[in-house]
Amino acid sequence: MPAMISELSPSQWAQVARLREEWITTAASCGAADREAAEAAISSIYRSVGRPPPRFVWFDGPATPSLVCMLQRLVRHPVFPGTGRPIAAVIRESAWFSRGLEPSLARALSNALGPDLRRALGRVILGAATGRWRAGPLMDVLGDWLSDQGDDVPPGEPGVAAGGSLPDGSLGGPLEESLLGYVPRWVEDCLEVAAGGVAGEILGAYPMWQLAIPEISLRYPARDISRGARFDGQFDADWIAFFDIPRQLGLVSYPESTSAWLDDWVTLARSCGWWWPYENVCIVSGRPSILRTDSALQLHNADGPAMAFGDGLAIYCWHGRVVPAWVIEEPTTERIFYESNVEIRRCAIESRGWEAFIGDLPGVPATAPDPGNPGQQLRLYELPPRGSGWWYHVRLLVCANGTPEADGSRHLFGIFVPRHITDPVGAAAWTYGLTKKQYLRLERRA
Amino acid sequence: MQRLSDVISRHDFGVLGELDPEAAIPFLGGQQAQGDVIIIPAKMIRDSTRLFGASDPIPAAGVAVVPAAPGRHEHRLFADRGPCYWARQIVVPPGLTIGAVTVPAGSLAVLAHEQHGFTGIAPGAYVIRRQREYTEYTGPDEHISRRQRLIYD
Repeated sequence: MPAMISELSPSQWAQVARLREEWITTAASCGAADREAAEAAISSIYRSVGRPPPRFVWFDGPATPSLVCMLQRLVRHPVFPGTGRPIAAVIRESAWFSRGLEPSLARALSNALGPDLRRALGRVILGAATGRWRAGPLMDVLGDWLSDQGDDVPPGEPGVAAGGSLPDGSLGGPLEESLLGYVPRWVEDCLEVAAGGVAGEILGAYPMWQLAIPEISLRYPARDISRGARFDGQFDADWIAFFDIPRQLGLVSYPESTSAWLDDWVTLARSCGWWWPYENVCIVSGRPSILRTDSALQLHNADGPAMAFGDGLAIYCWHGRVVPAWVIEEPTTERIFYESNVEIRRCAIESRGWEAFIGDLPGVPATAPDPGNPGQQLRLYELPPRGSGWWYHVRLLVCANGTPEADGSRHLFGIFVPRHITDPVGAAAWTYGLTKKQYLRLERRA
Repeated sequence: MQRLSDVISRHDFGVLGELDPEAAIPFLGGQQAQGDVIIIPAKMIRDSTRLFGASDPIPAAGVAVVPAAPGRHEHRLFADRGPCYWARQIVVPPGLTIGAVTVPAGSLAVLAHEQHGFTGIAPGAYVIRRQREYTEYTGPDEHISRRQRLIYD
């Protein structure tokens, strides 16, 4: 073992950079899953926890598995509470399935899960394993390795980048962060959309579910579903790379069995998307068909879905934030005005372009310094009178976030205020139910 | 002066990695805004919340003053040093005020948000409000009156 990681040679740093690029490519890759490789790796993982290899059910994306995993929690309720109608009929009739997903689920359920559905899906063998697996032997080994580097290296923040920087500056900050730290956000966002869409379509049509089955949380469908075991396949690349890169560099040697275990995860990262392990069955999602990011490696596509799957699930993102499709496809000034979420409204305005958006507004804004937000201005725009619409009655207050972005810029927000308010500070005060005099005493905006 | 990284180390709350860990977190006794939430010294306003005061001890895990939801970030209130107190104001029909905070002398509180970071709160009695906008009625969710809707970030 090397004495100090900070003594990496320039060629080793170059190798780190190359491996990092490879792993990012892996995490962001699209196309067909390598089913054979993925099944072999998952079977190996099952064997390592003393279970025979499962049967595999493949889906083209995460939406259908999310539904299946939700259903396994509901099999105790074979009919919909309050309606007496079979779950299967309700699912068939839901709008979501009319978009072409029914065959894949029906086939999978009847062929692969069939009579085992209740038994197989009802027992989540790995429910508590996620934490253990992630913080298990691999982390112990790495922890030992780190502790050899000196006591002042905090856990989880290897000293690789602490003592040196890449000659070309392309890998800054702690290694963990530099590698693939952005990936988990994709995972949660995508599953939230997938499961949210499913739950919204089904539960939305039958709101009594919410009352009858309190453990199903409408607000957190994804988190609820993923409370059991779920692994992220290629989107697990961040932590897999974290352990794999030091190994590839020869900086660490894991015990043989541990290393073989890591190999399985490396294989999975290179062959499939999310997977949900159950006692006899493993549900596996394919890889995305589209995956686009911005230069900061956040999900982003100004021209279409940032992420899409073969099952029809499409996720639109604006610089890492999941947004409705119209924000990307048709960000008209009218839609922007009707959006209630200020963050989505901001994304939509950026998608439309602030200049274009403000260009739609007549006249020159009234401006004033933003209290508690040094250097920033409040701007109050009059909106174009169009017909007798409600917006005839409002003005738009444009204000800057109190917290700068990483690049020093500020996010701008637009908030509607009553038209009779003509003073920018008075408008900002109104949004908090304060008078202008009170609001001028704001000391800090975070 | 405390830094962002100091405050982070004391609470189980993740903020965006792009926030500057060296950024100063002042603990102020005045009026402070954190995005769509504002902390107002109770003596500044006439509000029934100040009459009831805050009596529930803030647990170590904090209190979700504004809970998270898909697309919305939570504002979570922590007792940063010593005991601090909180009371949620249930108002029907709902208004802007969501609760009251009391930070006794010698204690400190922080309000945390993933994107805005931390707002340090010095000893004092405060009322916490949300932000509203004037807009078309789209349904009961988030609306506090026919023309007023709560906003969130």
